[in-house]
Amino acid sequence: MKKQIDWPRLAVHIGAWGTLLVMAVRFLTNTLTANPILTLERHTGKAALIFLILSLSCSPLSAILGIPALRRRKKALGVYGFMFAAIHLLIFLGLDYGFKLALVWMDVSNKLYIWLGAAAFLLLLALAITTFKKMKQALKKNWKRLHRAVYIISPLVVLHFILIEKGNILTLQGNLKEPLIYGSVVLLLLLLRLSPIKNGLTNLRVKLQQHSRTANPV
Amino acid sequence: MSKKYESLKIDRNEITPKNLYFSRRQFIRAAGLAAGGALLAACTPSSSTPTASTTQVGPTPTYIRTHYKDELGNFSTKPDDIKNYNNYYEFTTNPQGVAALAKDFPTSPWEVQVYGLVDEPRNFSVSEMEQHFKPEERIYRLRCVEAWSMVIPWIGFPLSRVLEAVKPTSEAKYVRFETIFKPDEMPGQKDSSYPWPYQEGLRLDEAMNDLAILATGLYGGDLPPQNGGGIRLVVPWTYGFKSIKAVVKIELVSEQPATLWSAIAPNEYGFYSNVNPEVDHPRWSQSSERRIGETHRRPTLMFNGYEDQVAYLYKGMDLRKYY
Repeated sequence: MKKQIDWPRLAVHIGAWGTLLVMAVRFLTNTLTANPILTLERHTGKAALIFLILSLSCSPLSAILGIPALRRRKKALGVYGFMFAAIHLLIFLGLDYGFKLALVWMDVSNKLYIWLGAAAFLLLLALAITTFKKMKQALKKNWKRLHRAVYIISPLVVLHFILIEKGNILTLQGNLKEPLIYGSVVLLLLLLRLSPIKNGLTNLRVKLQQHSRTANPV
Repeated sequence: MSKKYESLKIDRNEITPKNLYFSRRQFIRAAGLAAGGALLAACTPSSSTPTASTTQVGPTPTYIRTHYKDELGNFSTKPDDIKNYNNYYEFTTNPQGVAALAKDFPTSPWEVQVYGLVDEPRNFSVSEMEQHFKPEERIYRLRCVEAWSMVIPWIGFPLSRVLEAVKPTSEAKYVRFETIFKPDEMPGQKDSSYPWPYQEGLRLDEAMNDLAILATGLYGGDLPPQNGGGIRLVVPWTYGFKSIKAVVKIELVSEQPATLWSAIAPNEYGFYSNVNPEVDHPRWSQSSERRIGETHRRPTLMFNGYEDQVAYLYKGMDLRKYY
């Protein structure tokens, strides 16, 4: 029997490694603006957030749209989110601050955005370590509890993003459009998990499918 | 204590006629040796003595130096970096995208209205200003509030010369600056997240300090649109956003004027905005910076290294309160 190519699965891997490759090539060929370290920090941070959002969208979309295969992409997308977050942190500590940890501490220890980012990263680290089957079996019920942390991580990352931009979150003035768009998507995905919303939309989809079947009998 | 700008004493040998400079640069590029060190090695003492160039038109100087240093001995940032990494939200918030969007923005002719609490209000064209106010080269550090910095060889003249020409009245206490408002040519001005047009202000004594200049040129040439042409303010001891670009209005007023960033977030951007490593932006640190073209961080200097020239302006003021 000919083995079928799993296109969605391939797309996730190509998307992640391709993104990383483009970043690396642009950095090494010095085409990442005149301020490459800051730009790379921003790009890796954004990539982490995008992969986390994609991972977060798998469960609600698979239920609402009725595509069970989507659910299977959740894990890889989340692990890639962690990978970009780890690269983001390494660039911050290594490239930006030359691993001078005392200087990092002096500069950012009293800054809220750093602590939000750090909290998000530590939670992601915990999820990444326990992503393997053995850990899942060992943790039993607690595994699911732990992995609910994804609901907190994405909002933390969005807040971390908002806090580094020049603007005013109370009046929405300034350069906040981008983090607010990401924030709205995260909010929407979290709302889609509430059972009344999720069930309502799922039922609606099922009804629509039945309706189209009766309207166009095969 | 010196309040006047003093450039680094330069060796005449370091001066190269402009046409020779460009042909050399092209040659060096072609040879693939654009790295800074190679550029220096190729361009130092053997340079010929300056001769008047006949092809030069307009007010830009006849000679430009093969390399520039500020008075602390820092080399100037590469022209390509200065011209392709711009925080200029009137075009786009992406610093890399400004140059392309500003490419066709007309910067000449350019007129500036100087008015308000003055005895002799008048409109100046940039070319008139260049004739009357004797532009000179000023190699300044520019420190962005985003913790990066550049060293930029501007061509400009002290703002004080313009203000003296219009004779401020005794009620004039502040100077208000306004950027041109042309949303059809500046797409960023269609973004309603900002209270356009851009505005900035200086206290009159700050404005009269010799370091505060109006710039009309960069690196021996005209001021490119993405760098704030037709004419911009440069206040080297304050964060970059204070150095308002594409200025069309200079108004003398009695009350402290509103500024765009302090209007958006008054608890984060004050009126003074002095470069100060001791006073953080409330959300991020200002103690160090990355000089564009360098990989390490450098400590940020008080008043961006211009303490001797400007500290007297803020004597007795609590700079944490007046940030």
